[in-house]
Amino acid sequence: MMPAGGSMSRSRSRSRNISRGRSRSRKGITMVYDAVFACIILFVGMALAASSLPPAPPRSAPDLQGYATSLLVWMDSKGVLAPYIYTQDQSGLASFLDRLAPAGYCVKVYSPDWTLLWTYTSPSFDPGNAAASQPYPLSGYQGVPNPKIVVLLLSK
Amino acid sequence: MDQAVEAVLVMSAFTVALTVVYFGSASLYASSISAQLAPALDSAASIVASTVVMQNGNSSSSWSSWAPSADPSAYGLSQGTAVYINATCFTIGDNKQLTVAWSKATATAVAGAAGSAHRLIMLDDGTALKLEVRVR
Repeated sequence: MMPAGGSMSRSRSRSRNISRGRSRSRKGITMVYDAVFACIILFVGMALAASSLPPAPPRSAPDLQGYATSLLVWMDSKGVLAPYIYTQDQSGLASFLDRLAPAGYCVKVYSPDWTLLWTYTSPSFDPGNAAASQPYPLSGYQGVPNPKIVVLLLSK
Repeated sequence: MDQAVEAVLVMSAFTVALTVVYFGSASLYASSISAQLAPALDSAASIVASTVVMQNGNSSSSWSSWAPSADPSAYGLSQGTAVYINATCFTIGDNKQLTVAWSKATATAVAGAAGSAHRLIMLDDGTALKLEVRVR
């Protein structure tokens, strides 16, 4: 037979162990909460810092406007612009502009009342960093009067 | 779980988060600074392009004998500025094909974020010159 005092002390030590374990797990959970809270503070700090950065100034491209206009003038003076525009030969036009344009480009062809007839955009064209040529008028093709307006947009 | 293991796991998670925030903030700052500098570099490239165009005009013979220089002091830019110039002369033959008449460039290309300027000059012999300047 076990003495009554021994079983009492054993149950006391068991309950002490349980409460110690609870306090340990509470400590562990507190540590996790601390870490999560610290991470939240870090990410909120980074978000605040990112939002306080000055916005990037817009990159003007005044040289591209003159470039695009000169390109249209040169191609027309060599007699290659009108055939591509009137036959809507987009691949032929692209083969020229791929080599002559600084980077991306977009060709827009309008009727005299500014109705958009067709457009061709290269894959690398960036509309956010682009400049347009002066509207370039074409009177017709192969002796047939058929006025059209060409606008060339170039991007860096 | 053992408290020591818990502490190691929590500390590791926090270290990972700290590393992400550190590198994220550094890249954000770097991209912000390069965005602020970009217009100034574009202007510097435009100065170089205009200087070269003023030196040669639209004379094809002048451009043929011209040698591109990457020396920044030749364009009034500070030492340490990297300059890259690439000039390509195009011609359109009777067969309406675009061909390269000649091409000249400075030795070292400027890679990465740089300012750029472009010019297209119609030369007196009917050819077109594509001038690209990159500055960093």
